[in-house]
Formats: sequence, C-alpha cells, structure tokens
Amino acid sequence: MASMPADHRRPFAGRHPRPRPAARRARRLRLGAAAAAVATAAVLAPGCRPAPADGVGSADVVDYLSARTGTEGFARAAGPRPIRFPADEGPHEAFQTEWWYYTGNLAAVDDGRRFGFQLTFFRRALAPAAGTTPRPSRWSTSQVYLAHFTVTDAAAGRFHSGERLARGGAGLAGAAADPFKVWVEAWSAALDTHAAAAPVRLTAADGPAAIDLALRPIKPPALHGDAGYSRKGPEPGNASYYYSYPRLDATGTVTTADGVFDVAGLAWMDHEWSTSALAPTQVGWDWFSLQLDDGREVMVFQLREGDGGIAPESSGSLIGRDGAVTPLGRADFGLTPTGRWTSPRTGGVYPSGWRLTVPAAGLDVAVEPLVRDQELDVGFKYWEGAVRVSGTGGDGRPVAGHGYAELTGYAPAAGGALPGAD
Amino acid sequence: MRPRLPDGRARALAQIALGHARRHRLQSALLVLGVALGVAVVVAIDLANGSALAAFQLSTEAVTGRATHRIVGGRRGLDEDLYRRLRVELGVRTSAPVVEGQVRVKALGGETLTLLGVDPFAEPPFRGFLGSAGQGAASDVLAPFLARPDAVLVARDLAARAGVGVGDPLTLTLGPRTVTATVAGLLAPADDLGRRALDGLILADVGTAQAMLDRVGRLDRIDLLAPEGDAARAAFLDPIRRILPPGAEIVPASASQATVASMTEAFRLNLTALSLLALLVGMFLIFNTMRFSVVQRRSTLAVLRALGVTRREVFALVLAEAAVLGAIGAALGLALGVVLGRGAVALVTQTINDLYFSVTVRDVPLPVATLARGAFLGVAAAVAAALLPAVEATSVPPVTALRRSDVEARSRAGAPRALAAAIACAALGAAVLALPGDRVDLGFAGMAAIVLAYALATPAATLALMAAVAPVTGRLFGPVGRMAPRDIGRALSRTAVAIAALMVAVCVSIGVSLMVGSFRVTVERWLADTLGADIFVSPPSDSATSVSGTLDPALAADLAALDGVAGVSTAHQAEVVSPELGRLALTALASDIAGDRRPYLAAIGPPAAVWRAMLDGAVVVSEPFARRHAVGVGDRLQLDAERGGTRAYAIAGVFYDYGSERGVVYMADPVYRAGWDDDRISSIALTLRPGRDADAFASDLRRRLAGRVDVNIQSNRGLRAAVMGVFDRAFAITAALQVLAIAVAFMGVLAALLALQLERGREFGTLRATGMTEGQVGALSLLETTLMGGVAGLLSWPAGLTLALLLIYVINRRSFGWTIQTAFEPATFAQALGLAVGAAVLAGIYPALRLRRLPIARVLREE
Repeated sequence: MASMPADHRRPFAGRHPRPRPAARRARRLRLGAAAAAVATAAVLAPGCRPAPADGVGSADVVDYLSARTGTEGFARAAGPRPIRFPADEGPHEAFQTEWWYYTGNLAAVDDGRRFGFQLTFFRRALAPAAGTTPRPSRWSTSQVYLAHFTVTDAAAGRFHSGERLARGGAGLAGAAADPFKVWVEAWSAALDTHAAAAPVRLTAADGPAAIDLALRPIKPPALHGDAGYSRKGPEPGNASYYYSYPRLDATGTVTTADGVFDVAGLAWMDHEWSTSALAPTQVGWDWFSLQLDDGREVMVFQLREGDGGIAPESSGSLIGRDGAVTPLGRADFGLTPTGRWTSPRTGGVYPSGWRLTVPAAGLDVAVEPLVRDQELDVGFKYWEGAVRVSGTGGDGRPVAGHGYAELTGYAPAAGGALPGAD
Repeated sequence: MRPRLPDGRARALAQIALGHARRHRLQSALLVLGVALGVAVVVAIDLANGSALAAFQLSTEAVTGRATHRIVGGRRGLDEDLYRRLRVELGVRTSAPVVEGQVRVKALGGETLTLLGVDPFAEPPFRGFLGSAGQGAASDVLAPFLARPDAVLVARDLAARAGVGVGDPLTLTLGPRTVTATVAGLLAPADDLGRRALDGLILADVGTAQAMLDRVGRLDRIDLLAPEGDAARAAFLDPIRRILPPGAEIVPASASQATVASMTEAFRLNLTALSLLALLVGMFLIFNTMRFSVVQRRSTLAVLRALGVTRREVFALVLAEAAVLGAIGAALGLALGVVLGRGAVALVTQTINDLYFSVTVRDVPLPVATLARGAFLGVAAAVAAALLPAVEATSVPPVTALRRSDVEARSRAGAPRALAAAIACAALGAAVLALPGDRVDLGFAGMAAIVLAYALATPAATLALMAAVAPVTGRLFGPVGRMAPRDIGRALSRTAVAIAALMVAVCVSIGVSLMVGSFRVTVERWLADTLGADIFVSPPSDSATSVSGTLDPALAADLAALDGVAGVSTAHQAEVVSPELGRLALTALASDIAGDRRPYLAAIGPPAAVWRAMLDGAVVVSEPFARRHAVGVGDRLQLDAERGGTRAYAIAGVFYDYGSERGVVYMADPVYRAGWDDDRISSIALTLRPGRDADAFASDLRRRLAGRVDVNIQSNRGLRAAVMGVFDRAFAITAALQVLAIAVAFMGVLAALLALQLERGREFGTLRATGMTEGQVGALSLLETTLMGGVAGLLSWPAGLTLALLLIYVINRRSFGWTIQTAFEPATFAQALGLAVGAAVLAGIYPALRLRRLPIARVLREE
C-alpha cells in the first residue's frame, strides 16, 4: 500500500460533491486529541493512582490539549493538495494532530476461532516546530505519540486493551514515510521490505495479548473528501487530509492467554492529519466500518447531540467492489440499537447490537458485537470492538461480514465524557 | 522523720527519700544536672547525625524514587540508545532515563542543587513530582516542559526562596558554563516529605538537561522497577543484562544509599562515641552522689532496717531515688539536647559537606527514637551507677549504725581490689584491641576498657600519691598540709570517685587534643609537601577537598602562556570501574607537583623512580585505598579501560593522603588518556618564576578572568588555608563535645567535694573547737580540693597519652585508613593539669566558704 500509485485514487476524486462530513473528522480528531490529552494527564497524575486519568488536573489538561490549544504556528489544511504515496504515509509534523488507525477481524487458520484487533497510533504536537532553533538533544521534541492496542477473543469472550505513550524523539516513538513506519516503543506498524509483496507488519504485545500481522492492500486507498482534502466546517482551515485502506488482507499470529494462533482475515486502516480545534457540541458518537462478504465496505457514523438528537453531519460511505466511494448522507442510512450493555468498570450504558439499513444499496443487516465488553481500559474510556454482520445485501441476497464499531460518550464523567464538551 | 509502718510502707519510704533529697537540694540538683548534660550531649549528637543522614537519604530518595535497580555506566554514563533498546526492542516499560548534575543557582547565593533530567512519560512509576504538579499549574506545564529548550520546574518553596515565578529566568552555573533556564512551572508537593524532597531539585526534561549539562547523547543512569520475587526479578533483569554494553552494570537502587551510610559511618560513630563519653562521666557523678547519700543516711537506714524494712526494700529505695533523679535529669537533658542539637546539626552537616557529599538540612526533625534513646540512657545510666551504692545500703545492719571509719577502712581495703580489677580491665581492653580485623566499634570498646582501667586504678594511685605528697605539703603548710593528704586518703570512698571522674574527663580532653593536634600537624606537613605549585585553578565548587566540575582544557594552554608562569600541570578527577573493586576515584596527573617531596608510605623506589614507573603504566594508590582494599606495592589493580578493555596496572607506591577516606588512585595523565576517552581536566596547577608573589599573581589572574571564565583561583597559601579551614571545621564539633564532657566532670567534682566537705562538718567542728581558725579550716578544705584536682590531672597524663595513641593508631586508622604522625604538644599536658586543678579549686570554693560559717556548737551537738 505504501507504493500505491496516485492514479488509483483519481477515480474517486470528484465523486464526493459534498465535503467530507465535518463530524467524521470531528470524531476522529477529538478522539485523537482527547486520547493524547488524557494520556498526557496520566503522566501528570500521581503514579500510584490505579486509574491515571481520573482526578487531579486531567480536566485542565484535556481542556488545554484538546479544546483550548492554540493552533497558531501550525500548518492548516487550507485547500486540496495532491496526496502522494509514499511521502504522505509518514508524519506531517507541521500539523497539530495525526493518526494511523488499524482495526481488523481475523480467524484462526485451523479452527476458525474469531479474533478482533485494534492498533492505533496518535501523534500530537505540543507546540509548533516552525521558527524554533534546533536543539542538540535527540530527546528534545514537541511531538508526543500515543498508541492503543486491543485484542478481542470471541471464543473466550475476552477483551484486552493497553496503551503506550512516548515522546517522538530519541527513537522511542515516531513515524516515517519511506520506508513506512510508525511506532511507539515496542509497538509498530512498519513496511517489511524483506517479505514478499512488502506488507506492512503490525507488532504489539501487552500482557498476555500480542499480534504479529502482515497487511497487504486488496483495494487501493480511498481518498476522502476532495481528493483527500476533507472539509469539516465553513472555514477553509477547518479541514483535514484523509485517506483510508478499506480492505487489507491480514495474515499472521494472534497471541492470547490461551496460546498463539495462526490467523487470516481483513483489516482497515485510516490515516488523517489536521490542525483544528472544534468547538464540541456533541456528547458522543457511534461509528462503524463493515467489510461485507460481497466485496463491499460500509462506513457510517452518527453524532449524538447533548439533547439526544442526531447531528445532521452524521453520514457514511459505501465503497463498491471496484473501490468506488458512494457518499451516504444523514438520510441515506438508518441505525437502530437493538440491545444494551452496562460497563462494570465505568457504569456506562452502551448500545450493544444494531439494525443498519442502507436502502439505496438494498442493505438491511444486524450488527452484533463479538464480545459485549470491548470497552478500552485506558486513560480515555471508550468502546471500540469487533462486530459481526448478517442480513440481506440487496436483491434479497443474504450478506454477512465483519467490522469494527466505536462508541464514545457513554462512560460517565471522568471515564468517558467527551473531553472538552463541558 | 517517723516512718509510719507497716501501713503505707512504700509511701513512707518515698517520703524518706524525698526528705533526704529536700535536705540535700544542691546535691540532688547537681546529680540531675550531670545526668541532664550527659543526656543532652548524646541527644544532640544523635539528632545531628540523624538529621544529616536523613536529609541525604531524602534527597537520594527524591532522585531515586521507587526504583529497585538502576543501570549505571562507566565514567561517561550510558549511551542514550540503550534506553531506546530497552523500550523499543525489549519492551521494558518500567524503566526511566535520568540525566543529573550539580548546578549552582545564582539567585540562591550560589547554593548547589541537583538538576534532574527526566522523561515525564517514563516517570509516573518512579517519582511523584510531576504527579504532584497536578493542581492548577499542570495543564500549562507539559508542553513548555518538553518543547521549550530552557524549561525547568522547581518547587514552589524553592522558587519563593530564589524570588522567581513562572516565566522568570533562573541563572544556573554548571562548571565553567552559565546557562539561563526559564521557570516553566512550579511544583506544589502535596505533603511535607515531597516538599523536603523537592527542596534541592531542579527538574528538567531529559533533552533539556542533556543540553544544559553538556551530556548530549548520554544518560547518567536508567532506573528500573523490577517485579517482586526472585524468579520474576531474574526474568526481568536477565534480558537487560544481555544487551548491556561493556562498562554498564545493573546495581540495586539501595546500593548508593548504603554506600553513603557506610561512607559517613566512621565519622558518625566517632561522634557518637564521644557523646557517650560525656554520659560515662555523668555516670561517675551519679555513682558518687548516690554512694555518698547512702553513707550519709546509714543511721536512717539502720533504723529502717530495725523497723522491719527488708534489704530488698532498701535496695529498691536507693535505685528508685536514682531512677527518679535520673528521669528528671533525662527530661531536662532532652530539652537541652534538642537546643544543642540544632547547633550541632550545622557543625555536622558542614563537615559532611566538606568531606563527603553535598547535603542541605533545613529541618531538624525530632525522631521519637532519639528522644526515647536519650531518656532511656539517662535513667539507665543513673540506675546502673546506683547499683553498687544500693548494694552497699543493704549491708547496713539494723540499729547499730556503722561508724564511717569502718566504711572508709573498707574502701581503703578495696583499693587493691580495684587495682586488680584495673589490671584485668586493661588486659581485657588490650585483648579486644588486639583482635584481628578493623572494626571501629571494637576499637572503641577496647579504648573504653582501658579508660575504665585507669579509673579503677585511681584509688590505689590516689593513696600512693597522697603518701608521697604528705611530707611536702606538711613542710609547706604545716598541720593543715599534713592533714589534707591524710583526709583524702581516709575519705577514699568519695574522693576516689570524684578524682576518677575528673581524670576521665581530663584524659579525654588530652587524648582528643593530642590526636587533633597531631592530625593537624600531619595535614599541614602533607600539604606543604604535596602542594608543590604556586597557583591552583579549579572549577567553582562547594568544597575545598574535592572538585566536582571540570575546566576548559584550553585554559591550561592559555595560562601557560602568561608572563611569569614557569610551569603548568593539570589533574583530572575521574571515576573508573574496577571489575573487582567497583567504582574507584582516580586522579590523572600531568606531572606530580609534589615531585621528590611526595611522601610515600611504601614505594618501589624514590619518588622520581615511581613517577617514571607511572609514565610506563603503573599507578600509585593512597593509604586509605591500600588499607580499604588490602592492596600494596607490587599488587596489580584491574581497571576497565574504555579503550583496550580490562587492564592490570601495577601499584608502584602507596602515598600518604588525607583528602579522601575512600581512597584514590593516581595515574599519569598520558596513561589515563590512552585508556580513557576523556579530555577533561578538573584542576590546573601553576608554578611561577622565582620572585613572583603567588598571592599577587592569583588576585591579578582573578581580575583578568573575571566575567570570562568562572573559576576558582587560589594561591598555595590560600588553598592551604582553605584546607585547614575544612579541617578545623571538621573538629569544631569534637572541641564542643570536649568542653561538654569537662562541664559534666566539673559538675561531678563540685558535687563530690560539696558533699564531702559538708559531711565532714562535724570533723571540722571538732577541729574548730580544738582551736583551729576559720582561715585554717578554709585552707584545709581548699588544699584538699587542690590535691584532688592535682591527682586527677597527674593521672590524666598517662591516661590521656594512651588515649591519644589509641585514637591515632586504632580509631583513626580503622575509621578512615590514614596514618597520623604523632606530634605531641607538651603544653597540652600542662593545660590538662591546670584544667583539673582549676576545676577542683573552683568546685572547692563554695564548700570552703560554707565551712567558715560553720556553727561549731550545733555541729558538735549533732556529733
């Protein structure tokens, strides 16, 4: 995927008449910012606290790093620009925020046991680098990296999560375009130039859980918005640069407390960078990326307003077998919760199970979590987990698949309230 | 007093004791005061030692945090990439990089603080400072802390002391360089412990600290938090050990604190021993007072026994009295000790700063343990000292009171027994001292036994001296002169103890004075021999005896070019690693400025030959080093060189050195530079052309370098004065203790004489009745006290000399490993005699005055 020719994304450009929904970026932006911020708060909170994000000063830090951070001195996504591969796969440190997001559904090669994984790298600049004199130490940097890693073991009903935080200096964390690499300490996603077809290799281990996967793109990257320039508000600077790999072939191993499993399956990757501080009005969001066995992908999300309503920016995409992206507006899909789950950790009450309809595509499916408890027990509490899909996929043909869902704003107070929403 | 028996027996006995104490107020007061002073000294020293050590441990803990282990490197620390490998390749999460150095803060009057460079992302499991930053300031801190090149965090209290706030510049001096940091935030520690821990710290990001301390690319250490349990710990540490570069090692975090504790242990033990001596002298006083009060009350005791009071009750009565008075004394002593302790802390910490490491004590906490120990010692000393008198009291038979003469006769008969005990005690002491090994505490035990032997020999010696002196005083003072020695001999039961107490105090004074005097002369000679240059240039530092910073190597060449400079030599103090002996202090010398005068304890040949051998790769070691590591000339010292790996260096000589009790290795500069990749220097010595005045040259040089290079320039004379200043400061506390011990002894003599003279009132009454004038009685009393002081003074000579030799050849050698050349000042002995006689005369004046007002008739009637 690192060497994806630019032509591959051309067909999708311009098919996106309307700017990429602002809220989509809002979601990811704010999760990125909030996660980095909360993890930063963890650094500043006393080490003896079991839950680092609670209490002392975290609200201040979150305010500081997410909502109130000055954007002065950072580059802004001011208009469309070509997205080049592999140059743009690396970091864009002139921008304040950036992330590389991997999720996937895997099955054990021998017995089909289902696994899900998430490996996400967030980058956050604490201060603009522009205009500053170089410092002699390799430790000196204003780039901070945060990573989240989860493994879901459907058969055992287990979910494991962990996080890492490090500076983008002294080799402890960072990102590079060519050869592609992003890492936080021992967790990394890196182009393996020695292996056949140069896959991106994901490695992470935390406690009993580990993954070692090779990812190869089946479809070209999908450039969102206007050839990757993705507006999210009326002002030109309120936008991001954004692309996804909607279908990646994944093979390798997953390790759980029960042992090491050879696995194969599909993964999804997002890469987005921007400098933007939204004024949040939403309390949370529900987001889905579904990979169907008919060769299509669906991505939808809805933003929940404080009054219980759904924001008009809620939207999605339908990606065809050929990789063509069809945007879905607020009215183009329906999402109804069919169950509820209460977190024993945070007490948050999450929806658990949905009915998703996309009438234009003839899609009517049930979405069920592989494991009900896939709430990340990290600095910033949210639910992101593997889901399975079944239903009809148009013309009454049955369709099935797997995907990932992300639910935020359900955990109460310090644990999961949308940071900066106050 | 009529005891009401059998009801309220205990109360009756208590009333008897109370009545006695009331009637002998002065006596009781002196006893209480003696105990109080003894306890006060012990408590003060305990407090001072404890505070200094606690302050150090606190500052160590502040920088060590909760780490269980640390990875340390050679002289230049660790390559920072090791930390990346730990985190990225091994995934070791409980690890934290540390860069640290000493900086001087201009706004705090040049006070030295630790600049601690940490990674805030790795910190939480280790140190809580950043956590405690949470309130308020935290949100604004992290970004500038990481992103600003000069950002530092300091505790709120420290900022207030320095008069800076957030955003203000803070000028730091680091060796030859000055950097301006910016206070990016204030740390507000949640508790008192945190406040004190942060008091000596300036916190910066690793990158900032590397740049400020000129340590880019290096880490001073990596802290590790290994899991509990041997297997888990090994599983955690073993993979790390496998990737360690040569020269790096994993050490337990507690090791550095243990080193510090053991480094100062000898020093602290010496102080404690001296403080216990004051209490020992106090015990003589209690013994004397209690014994006397028993003798005084023999008729009361006899009546009590006749009334059915058992021996056991009499025994308990005496002990209880001692315990009560001891308790009152101890209580006063605790209060006094706390006051004295605050003064002693300053003296002790100054010495520790001079000789060992930098430590700042701002609070003197009052540990309950110290107070409890002091109180216990006071009461226990009183009870122990009263044991013998209590036993004696039980031997009073009912009704028929013994005449005093019987007691005295027994006491005189006891003198040979005491002498036998003295010989046994001396033999025991000698045996303990002869035990193999270098244990300082055994040295003190042996020394205590020998001092006790001298004390036990006092009765016999007093009798002999009195017999010898009687003809002389008789000729000089007539009847009074003949009576006085005889009286002292006759009243031996009390006089001997008072004399012994005074003798012990004075002999300690002699011993310590001789030792300190010898030491001083030794150090002066050594400085004269070894400081063979005229001007010394060093980095600014807090201590005259050690150099922590470095100088610009180019400075040596600049100075060599100056008019009037005949020669330049450089020295570099480094730390090297020996596979067998661990970390060692090494000094690389461009030339031996002591030249032919370098005093060697042992060497392969004359100094010139030793230097030639050093240029060929041999080393010389200091006497404390040789003693500590049991090496000598001809042995080989294994050192991990940075180039060429471990090498054996022949030891060509052992030189006298009083600069470091840890010991130091001298190596020729070319040999060091060949083995170690280090071009720094830590001091420069200049030799001037003949006729140049060093002091004038030094002040001229100071003027010329002012504002350009921050260095310390001292003339030979100035440096010697500075070192001797350190020396004198180190012994200031010893002198203070000496004075206190004598004060306790004085109290003892006063109490003994007072009791003695008052008790002999009847005798004096008879003398007066038989025609002796007031003046003659007063003269008799004064002559007696003078004789007692004289005996104590004379006996203290051999005792003091023995003590001095033991201090020099046993205690100091075992504690610090250096040889002190004996240089005894005869005046010390004369002073000691003067002190003893003076104290005794002073103590005798009041009793003499009281005797003159003696109502003869009443006294005789009582008889």
